[in-house]
Amino acid sequence: MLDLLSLVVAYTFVNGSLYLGMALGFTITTGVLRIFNLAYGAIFLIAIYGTWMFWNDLGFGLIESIILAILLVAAFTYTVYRVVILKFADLEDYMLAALVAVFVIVEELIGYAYPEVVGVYVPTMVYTETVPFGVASIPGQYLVVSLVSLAMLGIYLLFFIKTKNGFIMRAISQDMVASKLVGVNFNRTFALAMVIASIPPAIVMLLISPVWALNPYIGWTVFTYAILVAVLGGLGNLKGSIMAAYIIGFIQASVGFLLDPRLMLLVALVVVMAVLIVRPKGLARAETIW
Amino acid sequence: MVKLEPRRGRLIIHFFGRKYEWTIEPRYWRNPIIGLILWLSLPLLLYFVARIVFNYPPIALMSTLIYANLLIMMSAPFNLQTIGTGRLNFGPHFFLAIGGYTAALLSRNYGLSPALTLPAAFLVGAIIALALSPITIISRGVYYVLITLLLPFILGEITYWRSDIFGAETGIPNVGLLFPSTGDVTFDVLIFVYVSLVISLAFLFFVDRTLRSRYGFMMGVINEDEDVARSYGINVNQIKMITFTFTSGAMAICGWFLAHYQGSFTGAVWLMPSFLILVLLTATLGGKGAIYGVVISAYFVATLREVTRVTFGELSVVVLFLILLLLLYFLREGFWGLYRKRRYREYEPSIKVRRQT
Repeated sequence: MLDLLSLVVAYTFVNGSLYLGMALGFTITTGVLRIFNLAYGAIFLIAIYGTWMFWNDLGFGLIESIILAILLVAAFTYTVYRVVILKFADLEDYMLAALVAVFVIVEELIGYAYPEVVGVYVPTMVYTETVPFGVASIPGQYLVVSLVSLAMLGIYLLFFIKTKNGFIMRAISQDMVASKLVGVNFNRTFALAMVIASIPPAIVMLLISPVWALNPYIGWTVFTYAILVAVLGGLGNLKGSIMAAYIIGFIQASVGFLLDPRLMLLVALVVVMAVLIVRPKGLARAETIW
Repeated sequence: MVKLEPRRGRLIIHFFGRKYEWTIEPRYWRNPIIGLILWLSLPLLLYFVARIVFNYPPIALMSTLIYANLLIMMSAPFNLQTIGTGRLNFGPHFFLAIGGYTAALLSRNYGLSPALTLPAAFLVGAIIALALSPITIISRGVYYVLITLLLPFILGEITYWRSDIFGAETGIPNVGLLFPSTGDVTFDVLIFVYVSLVISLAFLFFVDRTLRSRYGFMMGVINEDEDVARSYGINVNQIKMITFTFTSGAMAICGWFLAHYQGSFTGAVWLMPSFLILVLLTATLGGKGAIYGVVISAYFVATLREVTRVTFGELSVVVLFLILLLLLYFLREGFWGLYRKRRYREYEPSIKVRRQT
């Protein structure tokens, strides 16, 4: 019993941190832009397959490839912002449909260029040993991803609390009209928010990829977790996302170890649905970032 | 009994004491009867041209028409639901899968005929929709989009969890066909085209009548502003729940048709986001809330899908979505919008995803 309890606690932390890292960018985009970026799932794919392309196909070094892939991700999000979000700013139904279409296009393109048989593998393994946690043990790479996620959260919180651009983004997230009245440059801030929001999922995905079975269609699964965290937390609220990530992590760990691993996602989906029906705006106040 | 009386620019038909007038002057040829005749004769025409003139079995051609009708069957109730609930449902394919699984399971496990699985599929879809309908009241804007987006994922997970029942990626085989085979596969497919066409027509007729009725106007007011609708004394919650329930039941009928057309049902195929996008783009490219625009866009999307499949092979989805995205970009008012521009006084329901949160 103690073994199981240790595992549940350990994986609540690990899964929770991982989901937080995945959802961090999504929460920022939703909080600042008040846009539900359905093309967000493509970021995970571009990060991995972009790195593979630069490293394996174009012959760059691994670090250079990772940097170039992150730049590619940033360029992609900026393009999505300029071409889709700005264009359909006043027609959100069109925008949502267009964003999913962009995601599917990226997914299919990657599936065409690098089908599963290619066996894409990015050697970003930082720690290969297992780490003891109470009477249980967890793979070291999971712990690395968790700590990196938390570090990124800290950096972003400092950015929002301490920097001028962070203040501006918080102002927009609290009151768009008032921030416009005091002269905020919306286009610049939105573009900046989109770009900085694309970095955490790219880094998390690169770190977790050596221990996950990669395929070009993994984006939807990962994106589902990001949606669950962001929605349960209250769209665009970082405090809510932190709570939600660990709640979902706990649900996943409990169901996985105590019930049936096949039910992990299903139970998380059902719990989030149930919570949303009781609290339609999620756990925290929605659409203000902090 | 029947007498034709040609007049200048119009034709008067006396039919058993009743008088019908039809404008025949070409500039007024917007008569829906012409469109209907063309639509009904199109499959037959294509069938004979391909088979007799080119001696080519037109199965792929007929399948494309069925796919187009399927998109109409999904998009017409989807449009009505969007207008009546004032919400954009991102999980219409969830109800298609519900209908498909219901029909497939009842047919395979209990040997029920399609005539019996039809009401069962509709009822199961409608009951699940009724149970979920409070979300049309509780959730607004993007939250509603998100909740409905999660529904297909939940169903997908259930089908993988209980793959012994739902068959996961292999689906449910040995589902009874809609009618016994005539022995000629191509002719069978032609019959399926007409069955799907009749269902599409029935859906369009139902949606059209509803929108022209008192309820249709109330739905329009709800779509415009729920608070105003309440101040008019409209029972907003009731209309939203009823609309959601019945339109979702109609979407379940698409699943019923698919199960009995293919002789199997694989939910994993239809629960994919790419199908959702095709339904959304069909509804959008038709013109917002335009019921008849859906017909044009469905045939356009289905044809384009087939052309890109043949021409671009593995890259077909990429090319298809790129073209549709470009159309969305440059044809904001949709195909029906091009026609509507000349009739600016016509009521145009505006669909708002984000009103309040």
